[in-house]
Amino acid sequence: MQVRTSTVTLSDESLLAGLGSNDPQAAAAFVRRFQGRIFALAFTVLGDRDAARDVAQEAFVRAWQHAAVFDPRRGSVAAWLFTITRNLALDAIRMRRTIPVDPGDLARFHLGTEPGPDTQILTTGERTRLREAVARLPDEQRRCLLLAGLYGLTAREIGELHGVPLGTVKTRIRSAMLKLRSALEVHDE
Amino acid sequence: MSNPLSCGEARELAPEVALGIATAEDRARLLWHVAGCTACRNELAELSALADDLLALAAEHEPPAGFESQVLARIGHKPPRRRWRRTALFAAAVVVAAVVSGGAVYRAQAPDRQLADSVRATLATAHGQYFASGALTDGGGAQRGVMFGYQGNPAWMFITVADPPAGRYAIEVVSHAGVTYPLVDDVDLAATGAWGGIIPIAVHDISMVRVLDADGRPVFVGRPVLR
Repeated sequence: MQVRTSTVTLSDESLLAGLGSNDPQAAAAFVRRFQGRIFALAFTVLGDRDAARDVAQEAFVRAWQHAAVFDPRRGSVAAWLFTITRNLALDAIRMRRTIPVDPGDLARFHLGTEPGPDTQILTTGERTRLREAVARLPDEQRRCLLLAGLYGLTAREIGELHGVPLGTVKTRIRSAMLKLRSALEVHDE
Repeated sequence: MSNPLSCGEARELAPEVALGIATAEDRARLLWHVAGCTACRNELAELSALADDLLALAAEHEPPAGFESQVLARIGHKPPRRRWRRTALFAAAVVVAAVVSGGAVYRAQAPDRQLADSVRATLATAHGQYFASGALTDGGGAQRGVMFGYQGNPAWMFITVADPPAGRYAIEVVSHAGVTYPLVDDVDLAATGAWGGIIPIAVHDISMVRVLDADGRPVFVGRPVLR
């Protein structure tokens, strides 16, 4: 009886499990799959290649250390790894007590213009639509959203930074989020 | 919980919770609310997914030279030497991952119960019942590879072989009743280092796995052991 050969597709979850179980090949595959995006996120937040390298490396080490507790019901591997990276980058920022770039410029100068690979978070099309939607946001909304989403600043901190009332910042963040969600939903219909 | 939120208040708060910038108190209040409100729970889930999406928007940048090697060194690995071996063993990692479903549990010496739960969850994803594995040995009894079997829907098998001689190979399984089932022929294991595919019999019915050379001679054999 002859059977058809199937191709083994390696999911992010499988590679993460291999990383956690100390398989060197899985570890290399995992790092290679995510290193560009993880470094990019760290660089976007930190604005410094050396600091971004350190943070990105630490993110992979944390992923290795905590692979066993990853819970796919709570989100994708990519989202989990991005969150680890962002939190590490924010820790690094807090150590320096500086915000390295003007987040108002992030949409133009740091957010990707290339399609990029599917990451299980975003398809190429979604990524493009979301990027365009971020670019279309009014400057003050985009600034508040990115300060919160990338830099982890609270609404109160953003208000103090820009000298605007707390309620205004909250409204800007919420308006920005709803616009982005609508931009993605339109194409889901 | 004091000061329970209305749905309107919950939706005002949801973006900040989704972005991870809400105070602990606000976060707790919202989570309390969404525990009993499906609509607001869905709203929070959508906004949380959007917050994750934002992190994926950063432009891709090539990390500095040596980045991968440095990461692997920090977790105790050397970079793989050859691409085909990497591919093969990545695939093996899938199965290893399925078997142990997070072997770091072992490393951390977490309770066996956690591992058992993890394995059950892994099996459940493909209606699986059990795993099997075994060493593939050469004529001298030296281990040259590993075979893994998964009894699910469908049942499948995956084998890896380290540094086999160049050539074309066939793979077959022999049942306990002595019936031989060819799985694949003319596969270049030296190039791929591995093969995986659906199998026509149940894993527990397999007595032996054989890798045959181009002349039909068994070069590697293994017997699966149920896990």
